[in-house]
Amino acid sequence: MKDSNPNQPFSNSKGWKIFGLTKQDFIKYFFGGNAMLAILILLGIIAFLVYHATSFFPQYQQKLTLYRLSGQELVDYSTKQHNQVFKLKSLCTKAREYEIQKRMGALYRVTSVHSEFKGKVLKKVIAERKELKRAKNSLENITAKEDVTPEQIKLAEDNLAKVKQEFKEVIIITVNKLDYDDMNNKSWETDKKYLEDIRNSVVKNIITGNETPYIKDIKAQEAVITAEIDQLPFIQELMKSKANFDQPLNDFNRYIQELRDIAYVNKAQGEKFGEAKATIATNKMAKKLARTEEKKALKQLKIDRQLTVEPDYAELCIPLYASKETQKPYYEALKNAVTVGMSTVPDKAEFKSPLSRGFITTIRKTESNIYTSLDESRGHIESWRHDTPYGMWKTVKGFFFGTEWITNSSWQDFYGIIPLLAGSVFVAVVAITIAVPFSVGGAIYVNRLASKTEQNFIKPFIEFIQAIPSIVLAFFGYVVLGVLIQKYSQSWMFSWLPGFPVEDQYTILNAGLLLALMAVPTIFTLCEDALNNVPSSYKEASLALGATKLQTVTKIILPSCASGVIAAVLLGFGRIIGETMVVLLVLGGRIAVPGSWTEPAHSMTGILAQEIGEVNEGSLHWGALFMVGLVLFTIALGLNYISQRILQKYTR
Amino acid sequence: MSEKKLNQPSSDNSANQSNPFSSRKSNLRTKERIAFGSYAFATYFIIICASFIFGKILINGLPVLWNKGFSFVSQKPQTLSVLEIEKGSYTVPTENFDNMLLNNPDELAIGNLEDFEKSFAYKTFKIDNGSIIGEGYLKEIEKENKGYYLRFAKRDFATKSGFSVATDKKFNIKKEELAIIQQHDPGLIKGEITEKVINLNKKKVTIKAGEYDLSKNGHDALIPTELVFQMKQSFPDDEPEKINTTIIPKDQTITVTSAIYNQAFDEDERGTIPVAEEVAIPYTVTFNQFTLPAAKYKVSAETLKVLSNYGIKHLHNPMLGSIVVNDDDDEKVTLNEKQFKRLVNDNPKLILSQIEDSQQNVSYTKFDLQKDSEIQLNFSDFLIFKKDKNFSPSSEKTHSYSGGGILGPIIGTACLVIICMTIALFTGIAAATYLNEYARKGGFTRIIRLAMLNLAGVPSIVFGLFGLGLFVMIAPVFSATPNVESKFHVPIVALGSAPDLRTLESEGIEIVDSTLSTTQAVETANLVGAKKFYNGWYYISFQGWGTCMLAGGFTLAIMVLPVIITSCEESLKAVPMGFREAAMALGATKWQSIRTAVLPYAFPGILTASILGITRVAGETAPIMFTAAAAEKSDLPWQGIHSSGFSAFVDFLQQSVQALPYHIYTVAGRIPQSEYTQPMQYGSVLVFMIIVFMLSAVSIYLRIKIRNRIKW
Repeated sequence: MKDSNPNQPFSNSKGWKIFGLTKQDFIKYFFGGNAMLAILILLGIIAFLVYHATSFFPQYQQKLTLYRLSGQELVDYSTKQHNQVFKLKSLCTKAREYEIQKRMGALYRVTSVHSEFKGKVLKKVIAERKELKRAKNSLENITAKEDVTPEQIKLAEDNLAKVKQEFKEVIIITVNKLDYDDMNNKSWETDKKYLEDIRNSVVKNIITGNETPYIKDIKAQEAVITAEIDQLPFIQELMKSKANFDQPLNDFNRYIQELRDIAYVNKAQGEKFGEAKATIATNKMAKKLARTEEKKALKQLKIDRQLTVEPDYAELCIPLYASKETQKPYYEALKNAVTVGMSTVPDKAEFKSPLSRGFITTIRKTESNIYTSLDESRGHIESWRHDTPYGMWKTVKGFFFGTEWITNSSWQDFYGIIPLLAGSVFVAVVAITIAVPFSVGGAIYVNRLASKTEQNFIKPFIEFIQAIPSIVLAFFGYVVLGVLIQKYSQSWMFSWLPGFPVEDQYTILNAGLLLALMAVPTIFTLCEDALNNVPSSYKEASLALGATKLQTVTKIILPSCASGVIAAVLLGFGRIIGETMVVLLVLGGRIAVPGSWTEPAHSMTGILAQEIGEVNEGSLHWGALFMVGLVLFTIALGLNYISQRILQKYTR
Repeated sequence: MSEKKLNQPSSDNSANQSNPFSSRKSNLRTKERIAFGSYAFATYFIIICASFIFGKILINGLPVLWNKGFSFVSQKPQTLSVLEIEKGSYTVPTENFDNMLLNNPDELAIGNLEDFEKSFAYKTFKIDNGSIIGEGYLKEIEKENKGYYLRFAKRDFATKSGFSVATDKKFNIKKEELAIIQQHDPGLIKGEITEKVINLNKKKVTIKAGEYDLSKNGHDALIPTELVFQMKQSFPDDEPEKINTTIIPKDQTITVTSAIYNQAFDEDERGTIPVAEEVAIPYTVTFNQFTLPAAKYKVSAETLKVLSNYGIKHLHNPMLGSIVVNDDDDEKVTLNEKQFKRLVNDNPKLILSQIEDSQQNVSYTKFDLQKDSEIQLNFSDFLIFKKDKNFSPSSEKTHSYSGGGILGPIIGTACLVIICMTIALFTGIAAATYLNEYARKGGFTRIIRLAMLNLAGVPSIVFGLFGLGLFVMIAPVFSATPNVESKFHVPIVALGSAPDLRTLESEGIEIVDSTLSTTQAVETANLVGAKKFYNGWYYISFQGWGTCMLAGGFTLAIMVLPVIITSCEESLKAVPMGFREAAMALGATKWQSIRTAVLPYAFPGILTASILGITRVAGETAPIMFTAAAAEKSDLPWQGIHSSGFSAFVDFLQQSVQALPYHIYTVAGRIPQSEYTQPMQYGSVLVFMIIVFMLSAVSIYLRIKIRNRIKW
């Protein structure tokens, strides 16, 4: 610029040209290229997810084909029948257990509280215990010595007595500081009236080392109450049901185990054969490149040691085909046991514990479909053939509608997305349900009712909430909120809520609350914008017609910006479903379709974060995880697209 | 829509048809109050909830920061040891004593504090070119002198290595081994050599073709033999008792030792293969016994190889040979007296110069622990405490990552943020300039905007997957020593210079004949088990960058790009049209007008946007989990890099880092919870929150300031 004409602020040297493009064009295309990155990245993400996920279905189909060929599929039908009845049995056991717990009240936990208190105290008085031991040892040493004066013994004894006294005092002080709040499990039912006795007993127990009379008494009381409860007619009925459900299970289980072993061997042979091909190929290559004769011979030996004949599945499955007949009596016994057992299941109204009532309801619900389900499994067994090809459609269906996600199993891995999808959607719905009233209400308040000072405080504050990193919220849920929910859900105030009291710390509810807080700023801001965009003439017209402020807000303003609110909610939903850290830490990590909002679950994002680091590239599991990623991506993209469309439409 | 609504009488109001809204005042008043009350409640409830979270973290985190003070942000994370110590008197370096006090906020009963100084003798010296030094000794020097790194080009087998025997040592070695010793070091054994002959049997066994049961033991024994056998299924790791079927395809005769025979062919046991015919072949093994008296010895590499199997203490590596020093650096190194003595003794051909004695004074603290107590120590302090002989904890528990401070994670996060923002701002500003200044309304622009909108809604974990797939696994690298497992190699120029021997050894590089094609080179390198190969060519190798800062930075940049573009565009839009027109009118080209009249005025807005971006990037965990983050790393990013120049920069970028959010995830979610891990959790969370909030407060403040100041 220096040598340019001073009168002209911008130098205008004649530019060069390459391929007919000037410098200006290059600059323009450079900028354009950067802008195009957005498209490239989006396409790239799709391409990568698809690339890694494509290998999944063919591989999975192969695995499932072997699952059928080896006869594992047949065995699993029997296992399914067994498990259904086993579940009934365990429901009965649990119903009794929780009923006893409920009827016994705080008494039920006294011994547990006692031992936990004892553990805590012992941990805190380590130094004193050592001191005591030292005093004891020194007394022993002194008395063992030959040339010992009575004064020395006296001194040592005094010392021991002093140390013992101090020890006792310290224990009493420590134990008196303990309260029910210090216990690890906050969901236990407790009663203040036992607290003092427990403390005294703990002191006695630590000093004497024996079971205290108080605990003996408590145990006796427990035994009496348990016996009383067991005498109740409906518990007797329940136990009768349980015995009936249980009766055929042992034999059936043993029978299944035998079949299982056979199928397992078949599968192992099939897998070995599958690996042999690859081993031979790599060794052939290595042999070709080997430099010494010795190494070549070694590679040849490795090749020779591979079995190249495919296992004869038809022959291997002969005992399994035979089992089609032998399984029948077991199946009939099972069905009979269910019929007899169901007839004595007591009415749920008899139970005092809400949990037990829930279990009885579940049993009743099961009754309606267990027979057809057992029959269905039997039907599958009868029609099973090892050589029916396992179709691609069935494989795809197995992924998208499969309810099992089982990995690293020695029996058979299953990749069904339903539990993960259900967990993700459930937690997002809970979060949105909590977030929407608060954020929409907040937006109305801030936009229409709040004073200027309030606005200036609330808006930045909510922006601050948006800045909280998700890991911080996840940490909070992991360490603080889980315990709080567990503790306060015991209170009678919440007992009317379904699923309460909450048993676990890490549940859908916990994650949902945190995600709701994360979604609030998004929904709040968008809603506020939408409210802002409503022309003030609407409000004025409404007020002029005699409407109150409330009527104006709910009947005029909200309806006219409804699409904006809907878009905000959808956008928030998309954000929540893609959130990772909170669900990874706080959701509990149980891979099953959740039945209630107070149960643990697992999610798509959580499983990706948890498992992808530990999986080999290109394996079946890897492919499955990328498929999950693809599903997640599609859902998030879809939600985002729809909400953006709605937003665009209404702003226009 | 609202028009229609207005004309309809509301359904719950039948009082007055002509009046669209009822005016039952009192009833409505309460209703309105309740409704507005609930709106206000909703707003303040959100604020209370958030404040509760802040408060909880503040209450639990502040004491941690208060107790640990500055050390919390100036130390690296490490394992925390919880020890039960009996009362008594202990002497430790003052530095470690102070660390102990920081780690134990509860009063420890400490009395009789006494500070004094101990001095240690050191030798400082320089290793001259032409020295020959054992590998272990070099490692020791490098360990004691951080930053000293010797590149060598040659190893040496011919020079004799030294070792010393402290007390007379008896040997009982095989005859062949003795022959090796006597061949290479004839004068080594001066005393008497006695001989002992042991008779052993080998067996020649014939096995018929067929199917047999074989146990895992038998299978393992058969692997080194020449027998051809085919297993029908493999042995699972968790069932050592399992017996599987094996097929012997043809009749075979092999010779095996009796140990293998017992494992695989002994017919009394289940799971062994029956033998059709067996012949015993006797053979003998001769052992020789001799004594080496306590002294210093110099022996050849072959002899050392033999003797090493019988418990001779030395730091040489007889398999690879000693190292020939050929280094232009004038760096001096320091060893303590004991180490120096051993170094000189064991390396006869070492040439040292500028040897200087030096003294180092270390201040020590002697203290009495007046009560048996439980103390918490950083693991590195614990190692030093252990040197005190009185110090013998009666119980010892460790908690990973819970000791020390969070320096590593803070630095790591800062590195990630810097890399990410450099990339994101560069492309973001360019893209925004295009969209605001150049683009015309049309298909292309619409697609870009659509892509940006949708990119903003992609879950962060999906960006993580993308980063893993692209940057970690297949991104291109320009290198003369490409990975064998790379997706594909593109040769560029034959100008590579061979890496030095040390690099070859430590990175597993195989030098391949330059006449071989790339495919052949890869195969050859694969065969010898090398990880990389070198054949004189520079390659663009699609091998990925590995889990490293660069991959993490790019992933984060992609994630934050839509946010940056959108806000940069906003600030460009805010620059009045007149500025551009004025510049153009003065004869500026388009680019000149953008450079001089638009970008400088949009700069404050871009700054705000970038700080907002930093806040978002610093807090993300999911995208860096498998692209950049490491749970444990003992070095800071700039430590432990041995290369120089541009390749040092590349090495710097190509290493994994600790990051604050990932560190929180590790200490909260991946290690067992206990009261000892809590301070680290709350401390890190609080520091993290402070950083993030400071950033977002700055961005909010800047935005307000800009809004107030710049009025066109």
